[in-house]
Amino acid sequence: MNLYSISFRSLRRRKGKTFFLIFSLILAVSAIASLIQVSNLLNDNLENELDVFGANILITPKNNALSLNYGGINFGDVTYQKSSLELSDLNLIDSIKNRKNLSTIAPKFFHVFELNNKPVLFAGVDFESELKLKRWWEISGNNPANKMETLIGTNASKRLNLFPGDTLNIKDSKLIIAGLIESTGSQDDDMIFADIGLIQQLTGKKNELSLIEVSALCYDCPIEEIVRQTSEKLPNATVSSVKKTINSKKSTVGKFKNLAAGISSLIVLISVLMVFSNVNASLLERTKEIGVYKAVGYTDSNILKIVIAEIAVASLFAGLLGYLLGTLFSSVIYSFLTESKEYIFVFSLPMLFLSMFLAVVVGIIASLAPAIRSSKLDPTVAFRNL
Amino acid sequence: MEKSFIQINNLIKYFESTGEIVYAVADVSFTVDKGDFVTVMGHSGSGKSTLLTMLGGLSRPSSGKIIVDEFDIYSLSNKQLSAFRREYVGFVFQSFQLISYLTVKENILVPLLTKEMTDNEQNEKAAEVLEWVKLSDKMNRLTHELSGGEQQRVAIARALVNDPPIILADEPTGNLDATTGNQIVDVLKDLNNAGKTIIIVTHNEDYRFISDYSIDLLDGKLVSERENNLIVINEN
Ligand SMILES: Nc1ncnc2c1ncn2[C@@H]1O[C@H](COP(=O)(O)OP(=O)(O)O)[C@@H](O)[C@H]1O
Ligand SMILES: [Mg+2]
Repeated sequence: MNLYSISFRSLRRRKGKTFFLIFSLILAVSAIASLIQVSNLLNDNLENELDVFGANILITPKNNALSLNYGGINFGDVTYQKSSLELSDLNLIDSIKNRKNLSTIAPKFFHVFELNNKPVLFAGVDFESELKLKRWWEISGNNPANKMETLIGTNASKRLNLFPGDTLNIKDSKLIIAGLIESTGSQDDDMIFADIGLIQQLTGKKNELSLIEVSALCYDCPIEEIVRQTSEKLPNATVSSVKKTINSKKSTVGKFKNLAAGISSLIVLISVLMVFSNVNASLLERTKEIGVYKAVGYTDSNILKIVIAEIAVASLFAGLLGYLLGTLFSSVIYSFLTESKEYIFVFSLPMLFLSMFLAVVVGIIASLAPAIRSSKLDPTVAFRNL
Repeated sequence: MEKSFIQINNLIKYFESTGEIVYAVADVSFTVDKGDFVTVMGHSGSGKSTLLTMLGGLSRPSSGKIIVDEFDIYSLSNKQLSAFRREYVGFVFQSFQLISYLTVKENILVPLLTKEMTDNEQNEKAAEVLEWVKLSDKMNRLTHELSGGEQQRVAIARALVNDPPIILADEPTGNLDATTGNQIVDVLKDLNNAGKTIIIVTHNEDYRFISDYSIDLLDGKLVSERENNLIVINEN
């Protein structure tokens, strides 16, 4: 048995008081944990939605006519441009300070091949990132399953009379049309999308890229900051941002975060007051007990240790329970806010530790004044009868 | 002449409440020798408890000195005074003041918890004092399961566990019936025979005659001090 045994016995055998203390702290911890987690979930949700809008950063070689025409119709001189973008630039992009804000990096390499004496623009893409970026594509047929499979735009399909299942020969390679992209109203309608490695190989330009599209979500900094960081890494490229309607969504989430911060502070304040009055009342009840500790030779700091340890242990419990409860709440709030039927539970060890730390800090701060006052109590109270 | 174990010199303690000054102890001096059994008597409000808390190093006098074993105890720092209480004094209170959420044994161990001690040493100490107060069989009970007399014996065991030379008891029989009270005083008398210096506040005139020495307070002043053994001897 040691001093802290007193703390543990008191917690265990004065269950009502312990429960109320833990309850007061759970209130604060669960509220904060759930609001933080809802904010995070909304952020992730926003990131997904961003992809729906496509890329918001365009990286093109400097002085490349193609970049000026992307989005237009004329791609005639594409192949004659000397590109200054290379495959290795992808790694450079992925090494910027805010790389965690980069959601998708989609490289492209364009080349015009002749099919039945008609020039056709081929876009070499990495299908995985391209499909992630262009979620609005509606494909009849299949997504490309291997290097030889391609997607064809509606206009190109009509012009060349090529449909899913057809094959086409470029140089000595036999490509298959796996799917048809329904009309998008963009330049995508006039192209054939094929594997970027294959196109590079067929043209003998294994490292070359025509442009890179990036979708990024930078929450705490403007998109311009990511543009700046990327430009720094790629001095030979032009990096420009494409404004998206995402901004309005961002400010909604931003408002929610402010609201959440406001509510959290209020709840923490209430919780601090509850803990304070609880500890205060509980210690007033124990004045005679504390008088006895003094009479048997405990110092002020011995008594402070007993009281603080008791609160710290209760707070750790409250942190754990508050976190679990907060996670539960956050999933309910999130599905309510996003009107989705699915409940997402995210367990995060750092959040758990943060919750426990927060609970201990709030618990100790709230009870420090009554605890110190008790430790300095006049011990002669133990001599008063009753 | 050899110095007394406890010397109380011109002890004064006053309280100020609502602008009025109340002298709880008004210029009291006496000495107690090692091994004495002393009774302190006087009506309610005469300053007995106040005197006892000052003797035990629990409240600083307004003026005057208390010297125990050659230490002028109120010249000590608060921390040293805590150590003095732990090593020199065991307190017994009228309403027992046991800790409700601790068992009998845990209550008894409370004074040892600020010392470096192994579980074994603690257990031995507890067993020893429980034997003194004859409660070995109830050591794992919570204290509210015990009778008043038993609870006061637990309190005595707690006062003994640090093996202090002085036991201070403030009306230890005040909440007990006569028979049970006598049993408690018997335990204290046994401790006195074993060498402890005992100072007990009581209203019971009977206990005056088992004490070596008794002092009477009236409104904070010492009105008489008697060597009771002499009286007893004279009567014989
Ligand atoms: N903390 C205190 N504040 C104010 N007055 C006190 C305090 N303690 C004791 N007194 C007063 O001092 C006097 C002596 O009290 P006390 O020593 O408790 O007497 P007794 O124990 O003999 O009944 C009483 O008048 C009491 O009201
Ligand atoms: Mg009294």
